[in-house]
Amino acid sequence: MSELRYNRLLGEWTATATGRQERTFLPPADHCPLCPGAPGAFASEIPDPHYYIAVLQNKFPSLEPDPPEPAVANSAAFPVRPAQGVCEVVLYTSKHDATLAELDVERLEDLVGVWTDRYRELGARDFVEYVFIFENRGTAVGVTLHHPHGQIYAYPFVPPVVERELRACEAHFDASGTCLLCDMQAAEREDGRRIVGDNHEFVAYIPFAARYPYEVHVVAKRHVDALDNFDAAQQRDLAAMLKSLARAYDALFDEPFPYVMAMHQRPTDGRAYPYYHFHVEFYPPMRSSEKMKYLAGSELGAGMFINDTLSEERAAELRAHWA
Amino acid sequence: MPPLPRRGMSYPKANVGLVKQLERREVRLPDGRYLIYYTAVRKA
Repeated sequence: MSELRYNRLLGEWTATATGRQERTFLPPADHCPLCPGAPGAFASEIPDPHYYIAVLQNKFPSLEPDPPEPAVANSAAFPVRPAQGVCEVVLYTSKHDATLAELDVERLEDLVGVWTDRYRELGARDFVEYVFIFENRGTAVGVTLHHPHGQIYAYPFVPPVVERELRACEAHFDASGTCLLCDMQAAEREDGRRIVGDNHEFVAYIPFAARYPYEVHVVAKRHVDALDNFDAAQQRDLAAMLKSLARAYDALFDEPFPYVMAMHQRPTDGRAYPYYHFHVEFYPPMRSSEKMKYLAGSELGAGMFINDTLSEERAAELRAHWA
Repeated sequence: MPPLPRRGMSYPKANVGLVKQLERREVRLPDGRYLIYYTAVRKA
C-alpha cells in the first residue's frame, strides 16, 4: 500500500509505502536478487544468465504507475493522493562485487546512455514531472542490496530540494541574466582551492558552503540543462569523472566509501528551465575514517547544517587521491 | 561560455554525433514488472 500524504506544515509530500517493510535486506552474495539467474540456482529477479546493463521496476516501490486508491479519504485537513510514479532499479553490471571505481569508462559511458534513455522515456509520461536518478552506496546510507546498482524515482511533482535550487537559479537569472551554476563553477575554477578534479567537460569540487565534509558536486562546464541535451563529449567526460571520483573516494580511507549520489537536472513537467544546470551531488556520511557525520538537532530540527571541517582542506585531501 | 537560451525557449537539442548506440530488449517478469536489457552496439 502506497499513498502520498501532504505535509501542510512543510508544504511537501510524504510517501507512505508500507510494503517496503518487507523488502529484501542484505542477503548473502549467493542469494543476491540482482545477480544473473542460473538454472537450478537461487531464484534471482533477473531470469537470464547474462546481462550487460539492466533496468527493472522496483519490486518494493514507493511510487507506482497504477497506484491503489489511498487508504484514507482525501480532505482539506488531511490531503492525500495516489502514489503515482515509477521506481526503477538500474543494474550497472552483472558482477556482484564490482564497484563504480572498477568499472571501465566505456561501460560508464553506456550507463550515462541508459540514464539518458530512462530520463527521456519516464519524463515523457504525462504524470511524471521529475526524473530523479540516484545511488545509495554502502550500509551507512541504508543500502539493502550490495550488488552495484542505482535507482530512479519518477515523481509526479518537482521534489523540494530541486524546487529550492530552481528558485535560487531563477532569482539569479532574473537579476544577472546568467546561470547560477555556470557562475559558481567558473568561480570555483578561478579560486581553485576547493577543486577536486576536472576534465574537458566537467569539474568536481567541494562547494564553498558544503553540508558534508566530503560533499562533492560534479558540474558541467558548458551550460546544459539535462542528460537529453548532452553531446558525445559530455557523455564520455561525465563517465570519466564519475570513475575518477569513485576511485578517489575509495582510496581516501582505503575502503569502499559510502555516499548518496543525486543527479539534478531539468524537470520534465513541460516548462522551460533555461536557468537550470545539470550537476551531480555526492553526500558522503563520513567525516573521518571512523566517524560519521550524523544529522542531529540543528540539521533535522532547524535545517542548518554544521560542517566540522573546512572544504578547502577536505578538497586537498581528495585531490591527493585523484587519478 | 555560450549564451543562455532566452526565457521561454527550450534548450536546443544537441544530442548528435554519438559514436555508440544502445540496444534495448524489454521483457515482462512473471509478476508483471518490466525488465529492460541494454547492450552496447559499437559503430565501426
